[in-house]
Amino acid sequence: MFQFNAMQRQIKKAVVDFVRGELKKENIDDLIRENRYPESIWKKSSDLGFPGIAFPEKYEGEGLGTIEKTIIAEELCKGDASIGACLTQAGYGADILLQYGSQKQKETWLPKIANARTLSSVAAAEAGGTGPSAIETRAVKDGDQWAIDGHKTYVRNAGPLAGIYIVLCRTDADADAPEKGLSMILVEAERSGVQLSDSGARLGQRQVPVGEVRFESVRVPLANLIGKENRGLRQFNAFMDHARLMSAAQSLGMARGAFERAFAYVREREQFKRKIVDFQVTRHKLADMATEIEAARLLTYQAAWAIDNGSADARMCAMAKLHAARTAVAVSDEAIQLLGGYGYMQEYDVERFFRDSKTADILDGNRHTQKDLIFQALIGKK
Amino acid sequence: MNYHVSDAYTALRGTIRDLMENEMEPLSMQIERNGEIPEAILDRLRKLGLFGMPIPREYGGLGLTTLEEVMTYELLTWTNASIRSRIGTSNGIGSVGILYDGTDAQKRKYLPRIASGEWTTAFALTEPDAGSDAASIRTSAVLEGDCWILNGTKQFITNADCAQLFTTIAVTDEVKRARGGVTAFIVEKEMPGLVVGPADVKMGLRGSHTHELIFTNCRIPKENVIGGESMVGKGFHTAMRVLDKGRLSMGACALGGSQRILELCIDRVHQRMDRGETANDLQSANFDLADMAIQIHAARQMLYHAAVKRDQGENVTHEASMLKVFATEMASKIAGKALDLFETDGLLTRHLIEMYLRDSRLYRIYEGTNEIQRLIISRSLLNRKKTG
Repeated sequence: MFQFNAMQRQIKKAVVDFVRGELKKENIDDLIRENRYPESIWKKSSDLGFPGIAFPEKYEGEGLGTIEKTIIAEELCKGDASIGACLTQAGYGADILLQYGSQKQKETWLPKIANARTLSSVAAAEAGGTGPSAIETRAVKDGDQWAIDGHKTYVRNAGPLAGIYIVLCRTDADADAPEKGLSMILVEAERSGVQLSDSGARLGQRQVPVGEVRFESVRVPLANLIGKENRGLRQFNAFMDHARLMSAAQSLGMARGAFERAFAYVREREQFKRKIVDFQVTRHKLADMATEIEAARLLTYQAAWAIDNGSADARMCAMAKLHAARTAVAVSDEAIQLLGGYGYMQEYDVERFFRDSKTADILDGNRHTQKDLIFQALIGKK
Repeated sequence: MNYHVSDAYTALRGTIRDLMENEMEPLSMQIERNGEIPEAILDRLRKLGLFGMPIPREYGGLGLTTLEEVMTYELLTWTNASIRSRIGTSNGIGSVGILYDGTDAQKRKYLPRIASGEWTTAFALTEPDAGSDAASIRTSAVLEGDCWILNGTKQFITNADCAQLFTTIAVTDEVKRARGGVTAFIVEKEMPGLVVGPADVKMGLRGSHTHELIFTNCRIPKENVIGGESMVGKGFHTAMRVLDKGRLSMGACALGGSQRILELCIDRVHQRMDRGETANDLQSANFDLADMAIQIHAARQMLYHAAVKRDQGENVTHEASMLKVFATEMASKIAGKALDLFETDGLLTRHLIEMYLRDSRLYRIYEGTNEIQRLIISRSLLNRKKTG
């Protein structure tokens, strides 16, 4: 059983202090109500090095690892599910650059992400679904440029704060399997032909900007290819292992946050002349919630530890994501129930934790996807 | 089992279905966005008599059976749950107290304008510190001459913004309380001393609003005690009977919305197959469809069975509570699975699923949380064993 080392304990404390200071109800109420991005909180989080925690120091990161990143995601989302989701996903896709990007791509973009000067974004899903066969966005070589055409849906961070879109494109239309002819291309947000539209009202994580991104004859230099041509799906899947772990960390935090709020409520609220917590059924519900959360915590940190120790494992990431997401949804749903009528009101937060949790459950591969991945790992297929 | 409905109802049902599918459907997103049900559509529903479903014909209502009424709620929840909430609250908890226990004069005075939809009704029982524990309400009514003087605060009152009449439950005897010291009153919106607070911001049901009600020395004429003077102190019984029927309606709403989600999911699976996913890629999704259908079928039998039993004059407290738990938990499960099936599209309101998920979440909480239903069910089981 792993334990946090001194540095990790220190980071945890720093995040808890940050949450206490910056995510106070009065600081975030307006942002939540108006579905606004927590821009100044995001900037402040970079003073503590959160967005670039796992980047090497030469890219202005903190040079730490996945466990530290997991701790930050967990504690931020426990503090507030929506703001936590924004901050945790601020550098969404940066790991792709870190892993596969050219020296120049890394030097240009990682410091900006670490210093909260830009959000990064991954444009993968399309109207036809999230699988590789659904990808119709095309990138064609034309002289020393890529010409990109296509339409991506549910792109997180899309909007004025995003500096780059990492676009999963079809670069070989003649490949013998749909997953073989894909590549990742970095598209700067200000390139002409990049068109954004808001995705409209949605279930949760409403403070995270989400848009449809249309690429119309967008031209970028050939050097904007990330990693290897036609190996985009393999790179994307490796990134997704990491993204799933970070999603598990967010869900774990949301579950703990919902639990904590419900626990406080039932110890305060009286009905039938006793505290709700004095009813056996309430106690047993809390015990079930706590048990599931503990299991989610162990799965999540085990997977994080494996990544940091060079034994990254797709199965562990998928299991952590599956279980933590399920737990956050179930725990926040039960939290609503424990708060009764108050639970249904936005003022009491738990309904938002539920909506944000169910959103995390669907993003980065829903339950069906995680189960498919776990099975593939069980039979040793990569 | 044959669930018999009248020919007149069969015709009405066809009209409602048409209205819901063709005219309501395009308005559903507008209601979600603006948080208001357009008056024009409410007028159509008024003209069909849907604000007076259980009210006898002699008072201008449709005189529908319980079975026919719950079938209507099923249809009304098909497109936008807020419509059902508006109508169901007015037909149900807001006015049935008068229907069950009202004096002839009260029935003659109020039921026709409720039936026509001219007046919407609401039910004021819940308070900030009295939710599940309804017997602990504090709103008090004190007799002064010809009037009862009401003081207190009610909370989460559906239709508070559009109701002209509030069936209001208050304590008239501090010592006896729920055992003979609670009384049901008819409070008209215009009576001085009643203030409607701001709307609550809820998770869902955006087209149906709940508010706080504040009574400050609100003067209610003596004749507005539901059932007259002889019913003073018997209001808790009225309130509990009112809720009994409400639980059948909850079951119907959960069922109507779930049926709609199932239809949307079937379409989605067809789409995914058209895009090249194989039957085996979708096997788990297809099993989810099967599970949805199994539960919907079971819930429908529970609902119709309880409704028919009630129409035969039998007590259905036990069945209503079981139905409420089963159907409302089903609705949450089905909406959750549907969201999985729709992938990221499911997260967007315009694909409807997430709206159903948010709207239906309330069913497990109001008109008696499911925990309270389980308490009722288990007590009835244990009492049966002891006495039988």
